[in-house]
Amino acid sequence: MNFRTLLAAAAGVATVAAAGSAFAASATANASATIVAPSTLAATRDLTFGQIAKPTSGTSTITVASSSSASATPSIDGGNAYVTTNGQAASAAFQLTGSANQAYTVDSTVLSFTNSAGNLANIAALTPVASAGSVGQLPANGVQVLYVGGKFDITPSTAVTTYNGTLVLNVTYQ
Amino acid sequence: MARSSSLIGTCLAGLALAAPASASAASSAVASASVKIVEAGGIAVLSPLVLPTIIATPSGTATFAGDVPSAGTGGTVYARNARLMIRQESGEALSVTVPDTFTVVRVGGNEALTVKTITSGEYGLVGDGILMSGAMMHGVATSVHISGQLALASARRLVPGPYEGLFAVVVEYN
Repeated sequence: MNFRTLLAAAAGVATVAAAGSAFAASATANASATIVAPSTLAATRDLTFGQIAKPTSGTSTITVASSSSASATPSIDGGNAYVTTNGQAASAAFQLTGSANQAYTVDSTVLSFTNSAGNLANIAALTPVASAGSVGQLPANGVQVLYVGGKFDITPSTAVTTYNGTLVLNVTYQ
Repeated sequence: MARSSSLIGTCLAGLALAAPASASAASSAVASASVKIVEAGGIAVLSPLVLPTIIATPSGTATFAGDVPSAGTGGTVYARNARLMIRQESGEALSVTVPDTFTVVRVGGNEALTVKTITSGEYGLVGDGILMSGAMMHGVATSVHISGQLALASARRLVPGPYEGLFAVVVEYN
């Protein structure tokens, strides 16, 4: 009785072993991963136009160019508005961080001011300028600053006050 | 076996969908924007200097007609100071000067009279020809008055008629 049981058990083992050897297979695949810095975008400097004396006649277009200068002077076209003190303006700055030579697209730049209706007209952000490399691709170190200026029109009827607003930059990393 | 194939297919499909999402990422950042609009500095004539009408008498004395400014004059122009509006940018120092004298000439003729502007000794102005100096005490705009004095000798032969002239007020912003 015990012998028969042992045989049966041995047969069972043999069957199982036979099945294992028939389907066993082994393969090796290489695996790799590249760790990159997360793509980020952050505003590092505000857009400042400084103080502008409004025109007594005509329409004046006030423009702060997209540049790295932190002490710029707005340019004025038309009318007789003038900058009261030079060197008090600056374009906005946005720092983009990603991987080396990473491509991106600038989707939009939107400048707006609160209470601008009837006071500031034709408000617009300017085309960004890159600190290094070109707009649309990060340099080899993966860090780039985009400078974004803006412009608007004022007239003799523009209310005398301080106008605050926002400049929104939207980009898409590829 | 069919079940296994189905699972693998699902995994591949999942990978295929996930890949684009991780490769393209939108980012947005907001910078503040500001501009301060102020009144332009300058000077404007609100009303001219009008000397009174002088009526000579045979006895050698003179009287004035309409020499008291008042409201409700029905359009009659009485004697009055010149009234100027001077604007400055906040915090800016300035000086305002008027000539000590100026000449009025008879309309249609060439007879001239010299009008002496009021200076410090008479009406508390700052000094000879200087109407005010330094920063304005209140706000960015002020109204100033300039009066004149006409000396007429009894022996002088005066040709009747209106006399007109100009005097320049200079505002210097520092």
